[in-house]
Amino acid sequence: MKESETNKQSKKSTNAFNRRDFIKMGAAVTAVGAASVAAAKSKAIEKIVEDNKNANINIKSVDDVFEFDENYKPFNQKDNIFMATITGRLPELQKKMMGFHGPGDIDPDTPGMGRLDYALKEGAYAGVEYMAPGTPASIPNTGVNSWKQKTKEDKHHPFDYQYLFEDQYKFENKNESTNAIKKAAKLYGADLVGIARRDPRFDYGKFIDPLHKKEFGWEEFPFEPKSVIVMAFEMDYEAYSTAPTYVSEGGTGDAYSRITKTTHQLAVFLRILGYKAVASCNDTGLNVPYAISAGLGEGSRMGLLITPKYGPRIRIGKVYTEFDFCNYDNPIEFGVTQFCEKCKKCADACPANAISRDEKRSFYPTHGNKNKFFNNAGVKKWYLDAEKCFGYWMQINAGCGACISACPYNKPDFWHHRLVDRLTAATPGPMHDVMREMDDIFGYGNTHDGEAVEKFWANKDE
Amino acid sequence: MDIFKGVEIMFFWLGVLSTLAVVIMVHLHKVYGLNWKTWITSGFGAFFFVFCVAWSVSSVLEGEPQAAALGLVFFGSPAIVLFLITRRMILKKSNKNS
Repeated sequence: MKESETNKQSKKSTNAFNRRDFIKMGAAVTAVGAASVAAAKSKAIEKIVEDNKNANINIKSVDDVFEFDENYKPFNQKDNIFMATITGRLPELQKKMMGFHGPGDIDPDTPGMGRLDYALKEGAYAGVEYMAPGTPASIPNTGVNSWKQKTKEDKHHPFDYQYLFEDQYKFENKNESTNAIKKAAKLYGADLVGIARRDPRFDYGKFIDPLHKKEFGWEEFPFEPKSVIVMAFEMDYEAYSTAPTYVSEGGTGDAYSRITKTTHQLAVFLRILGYKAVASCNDTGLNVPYAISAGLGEGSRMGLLITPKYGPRIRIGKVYTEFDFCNYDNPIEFGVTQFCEKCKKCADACPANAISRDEKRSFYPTHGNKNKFFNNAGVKKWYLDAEKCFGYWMQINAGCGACISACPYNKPDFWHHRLVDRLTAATPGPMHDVMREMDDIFGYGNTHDGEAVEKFWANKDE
Repeated sequence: MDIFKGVEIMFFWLGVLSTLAVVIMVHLHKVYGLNWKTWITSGFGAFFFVFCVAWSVSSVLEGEPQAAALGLVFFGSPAIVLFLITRRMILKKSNKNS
């Protein structure tokens, strides 16, 4: 009896892991697991990306990321493809443009181009077309994007308090003001916010208003802007998976409507603080360089901004203001240029063959229309053949967006894509070829995909 | 319970799976006395298995079934291979001991 007890005790003491140890270990691992769940929910990854403190995101100065040729001049708004077409400087495109965006080309037999899809698109654009007509096509000083700084005397009705206050609110420090502006922008609907110094190189040199047939310059702007608050707005992933269709354009139009609402609200916020402000969508200045300058992302082969969180699947809005007591953001780099040099997936997907296939960026365009006025030459980038691109829009009677849909950076906001993005940024060039192939193999980036349209309409939003 | 679905539930089950993997490995160590090589193969196998589940479920949740299927192939296969190697090493050791 005594011997058997001794045996039992010795067995217990020699067991490295007994039942109690198992329970202890299980509890410890469960605690770690629970902490992981909490961490995932706390959007820690999102914060890291947004704070730009990630090891793979390098912070640069504006002069580091933009390289200008000595001949570079601020781009004139009348030279962009929309205005050039509207004003008849590209007569072939202008002829095709008649009826563009209208119901004339509804085609029930083509997936994504039927009546239902058309209604989706028009509903999406309804906000911007009501609030600031023409601003997606770069027309400035229209609707709520008016340059006029409403004063107390201009009140619409007795309870209209949304005018420029005479006295200016003083923030205690720049952190407080920066936080307040970004907080307000996010509350109003911006997905990403950054603040850039106003840079005349990024502004349109001259303006044109084809609706009122007049040309004008910065002398009509109501104040000397010092800062530009730049905001990015996500476009729906499922809608963009159908590109190019009316459904994907619904994603575009909805973003424009949200931009118009949000930028107007932020401009009112600043005016009530006593600072002059003008809301802007695609007008007044160039969105992509301002967004780069405000640290929202990097430029790409297709000419669009690539953000760390949403890739190119965003639209950009901005607010010009005289307010300058704030911390300005700096441009970031997370490997997009190096990846674009190898990838070229957008160029392969472009139905108009408008995207450059040159490996390196250049100061001047190399495409067939390189001598045309719409190129904004003199800055180092990949040059898009805007006439070919816009010509395709006219052909299908809708905005395209195939390049956005095809881009490997266009992914839903899931943890595994952020992980791949970081691996891509941390790995050298040859790995980028592998990453691009893997993107294809895993089935991402399809365009002209009829099934995606069915999926968009079939999926229940619960 | 709308706040606790999709990716949140996935992370919860990943926690359960990770715990089970650790418990099984400790149990195997207790019964067979794993050496450092077996710890490594079983540890990496468990990692690939959990990663495979995480990737594939996430791909289904984002509506990309092809990515989910390829995730099973790319990350599930190494897990199976590593588990088989672990099993072989354990059996070899137990045969030697017997």
